Amino acid sequence: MGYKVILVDGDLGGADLHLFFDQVSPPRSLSTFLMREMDSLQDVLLPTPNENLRIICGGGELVGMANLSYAAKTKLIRHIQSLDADYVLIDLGAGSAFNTLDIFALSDEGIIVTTPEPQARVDAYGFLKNTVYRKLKRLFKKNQAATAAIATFAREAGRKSGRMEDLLESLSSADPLTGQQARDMLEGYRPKLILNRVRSKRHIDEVQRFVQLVRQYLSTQVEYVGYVRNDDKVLDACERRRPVVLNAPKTAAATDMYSILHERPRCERPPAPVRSEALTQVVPSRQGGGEVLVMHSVAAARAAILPNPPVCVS
Amino acid sequence: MTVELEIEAKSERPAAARSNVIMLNSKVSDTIIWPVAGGKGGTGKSTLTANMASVWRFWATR
Repeated sequence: MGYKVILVDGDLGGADLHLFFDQVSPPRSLSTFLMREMDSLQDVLLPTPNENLRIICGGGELVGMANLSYAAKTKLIRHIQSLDADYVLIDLGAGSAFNTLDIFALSDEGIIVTTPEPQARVDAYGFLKNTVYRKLKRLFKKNQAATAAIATFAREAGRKSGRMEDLLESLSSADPLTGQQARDMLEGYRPKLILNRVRSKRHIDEVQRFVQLVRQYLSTQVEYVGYVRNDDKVLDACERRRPVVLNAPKTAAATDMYSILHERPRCERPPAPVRSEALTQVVPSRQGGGEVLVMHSVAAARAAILPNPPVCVS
Repeated sequence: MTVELEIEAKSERPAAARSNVIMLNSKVSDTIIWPVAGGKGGTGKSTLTANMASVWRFWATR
């Protein structure tokens, strides 16, 4: 029932995701895989109390885990891409280390989480800027002229103006094809943004300005997908080592998360149009045979999941 | 020299057995990957990710 989901704790320097899923001392983790005690990342998977959700715990006990070698990183990425799942969520650590950027670059629609504080927004912007440069450098890794132009721009003009458009124009004037490839790459790059711990409406207005700023200076279209209100119940749930959506699903933060999820995961393939009064839709099961009932409104889902867990019934 | 491109098919005699055939790996992963990052530490990113993962399977539409 439902989709197969794997959660990877990719916070290489501060793994703690397992604490949400009854894994106080996980028997195997990323370090088990990276130390070659297991051949496949698939073998490191651990079950969670939630059906269809499995977790790959981080390898926090391994000293130097945050500084993976190039070979270890490429091996990890290759194995993540071949995991047997419908969806793989990867929780990455803070900062803009190359390991983090390269794993984030596995998707053009990664999710960035920030809070309303200026410090957090500045760091989110910095992270986005680093991902753009990293993607451009990877795109043109066999184009020495473009690579040199990007590096020079990042050191000089880009540091002053910060406008990616200036770099695009520079690349285009040197070689129109290169410029177009860079524009196409940025056009396809659509990271999502979630604003966490919101305490006032002003914070939501400010995040809209953040999105405009990113478009203006990084030529990148960030898609703001929603906010989660500040809620002490989240901390209560953390203390109980449970996700708040399961521990206290009626709270403000939990309902906000449901609202975001209702909107967002559908971006890969928009659902068929439904009438406003039609709260559910029956679609063929991906897992062979039968049909699945999909909820199409937050209200319907909440009504179905509260007080019990949600709801995708065969 | 002409080279024949084929999708590998399950047959008694694999196409690769012929020297002028280049095999294409026809298995394409349809796994969708969602990395979650933040730039700054302490934004509640891991908590949010754990929560989303807990209910993701019910919401995802492909």
